Amino acid sequence: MSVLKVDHLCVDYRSRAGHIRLVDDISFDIQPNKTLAIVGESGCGKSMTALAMMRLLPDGATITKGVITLEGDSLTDLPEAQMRDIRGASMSMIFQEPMTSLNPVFSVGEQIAEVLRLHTDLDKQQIREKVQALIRSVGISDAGQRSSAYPHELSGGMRQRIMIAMALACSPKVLIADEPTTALDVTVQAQIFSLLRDLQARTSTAIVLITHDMGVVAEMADDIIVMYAGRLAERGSVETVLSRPAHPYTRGLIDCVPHLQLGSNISHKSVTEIPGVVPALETIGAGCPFASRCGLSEERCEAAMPELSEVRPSHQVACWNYQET
Amino acid sequence: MIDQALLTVQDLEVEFASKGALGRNKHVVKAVNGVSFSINKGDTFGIVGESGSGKTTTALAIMRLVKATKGKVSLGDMVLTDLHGEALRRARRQFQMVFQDPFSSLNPRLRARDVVAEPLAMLDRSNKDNARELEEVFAQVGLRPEQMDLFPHQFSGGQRQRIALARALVTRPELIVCDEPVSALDVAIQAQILNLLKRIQRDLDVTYLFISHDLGVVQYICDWIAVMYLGQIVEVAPRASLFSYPLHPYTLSLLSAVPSASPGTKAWKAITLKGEPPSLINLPTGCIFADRCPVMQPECQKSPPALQELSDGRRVACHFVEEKEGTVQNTLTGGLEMINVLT
Repeated sequence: MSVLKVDHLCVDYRSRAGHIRLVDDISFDIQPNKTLAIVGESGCGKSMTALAMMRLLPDGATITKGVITLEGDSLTDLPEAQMRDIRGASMSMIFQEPMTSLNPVFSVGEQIAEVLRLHTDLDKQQIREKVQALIRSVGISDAGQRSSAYPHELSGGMRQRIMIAMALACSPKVLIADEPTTALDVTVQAQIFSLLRDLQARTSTAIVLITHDMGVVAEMADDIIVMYAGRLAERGSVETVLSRPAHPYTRGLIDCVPHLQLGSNISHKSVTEIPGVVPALETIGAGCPFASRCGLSEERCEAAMPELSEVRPSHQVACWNYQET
Repeated sequence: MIDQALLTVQDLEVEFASKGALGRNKHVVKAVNGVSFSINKGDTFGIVGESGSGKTTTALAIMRLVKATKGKVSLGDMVLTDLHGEALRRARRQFQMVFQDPFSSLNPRLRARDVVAEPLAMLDRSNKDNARELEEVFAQVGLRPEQMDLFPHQFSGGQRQRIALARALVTRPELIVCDEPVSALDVAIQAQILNLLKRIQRDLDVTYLFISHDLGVVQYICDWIAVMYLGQIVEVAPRASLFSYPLHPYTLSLLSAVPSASPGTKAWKAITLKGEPPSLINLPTGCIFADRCPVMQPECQKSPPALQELSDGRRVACHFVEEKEGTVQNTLTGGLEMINVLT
């Protein structure tokens, strides 16, 4: 039973210059206690998909097609007031830069308490206790003292822990994490991930993890969707997609990064570049948006967008000539 | 390795004084504390470490962009730390720098051509003689001649980093200091710049000092690697030895914290370090890593270990590294097999 279902989601951006499609026909669902990774370069629509799920799209961007359902209830046409009850309660989100997403003029304890005041009936004393319990649960010692600290008094890792405590305050069904560790050191990243895994094991929260790091995907996620220029390029289980990527873009994303190799038999193969950059969305024609950067591209790729087709059970790819690997 | 060294850094120290309110509570922070290493001509020397470990300050001190409180930096026969004024300005053509963020390191009001020509102008060269050199350097970094007249905002991040690299290359320096040159770029673009850096090194025999926090990138591009922690080097080793056989517990923890993209191929399990590096203001009296060390022993808190040199030129600052009959091991973490047992 999936907790969150995204069905044929389209997000359009309208401006005086015309309108462009930021997210084009994306579908996926996510089960409790599972982690779904959304992968792609910047400008591929990962964050827009996440913001659409939270109904926090920036001005000008709107959901034009598709349905998002949380435990069977549609979120797409929910009035803003009801959506506000859901955000921070059944669905919450953590962002990349914890410094800019915390309010600098309130203590971190106060900011966690705000979530509880909005979504629960706890009294003052109960809230104070709950805030300290939450701060302890994300691995911060001396919770009493830390809750009165302001964001600038804390390190990056500590701030991200506070963001997580805040996001988990009401035990959400779904946690969306948009590049939660990109701004942090690897040692702190490892701490944050082990924290997220522990919390998930305790609360069965479904996690949507947005990242560009295939190492993070392998470490954290069960399923993966790869997005390119707003469209779904490939999806499947992490194990299958990482070991047998079918889409040339997925393969490119795996091969373009010098992955750390440990031990004595290190292969010295060079990293393969994906030539060029993600095309501007307004220039995309009828064909596959990746065609201009793809080594396998041929005439039909320029002519029409390939449908999502099954490579093997629960592994799908949108490519005319994917290679069976 | 000393005889053919291009850059030699000896006992470098950089101190910053921080003042409290009304000038009270003054204290001195040693951002770089006794760092020594040398880089052979044509090599790439990497410095890795967490934020606040002093990587960038070391680079800036070598570039003479922050003042070194102590120590000596020499490039070939030149002692950079002794140069001043006009002599320093003239020497700068020999050592150039590429910064992390190509969105803030290029002047938005200058065309690409002028950004790249600026270092030449500083060397009192008239613009007329530059045209051919500029075209050459643009070609070397993979930009087309017609792009010379565009402004930085008309380029993508990767292209901007190419311009920054062209600016560093145009004076034909012997040393280029790259401070996190790819970490602000999109994943797919990083490979383009890394391969470009490699190609340029092969063609022009330039030497790199490469600062990064990304261990995969460092492994890909560096010949020797120094691991810094709290302003000090804790381990320096050639690439192959460092990644197959880390001797310092901090190196081990750092390497094991990197998530691996191919499940099940990791050589050892992640050691999750607790907490964060302590403040530079109150450094521990013993080993600087003792507080977080997964295998800390009582004596580690009493005396700081010396950075001992092993027979292959590798250096490690840990009390428990032993070299006997041609084999070297850390008696606490042992070899790889033992590490698996340990975690």
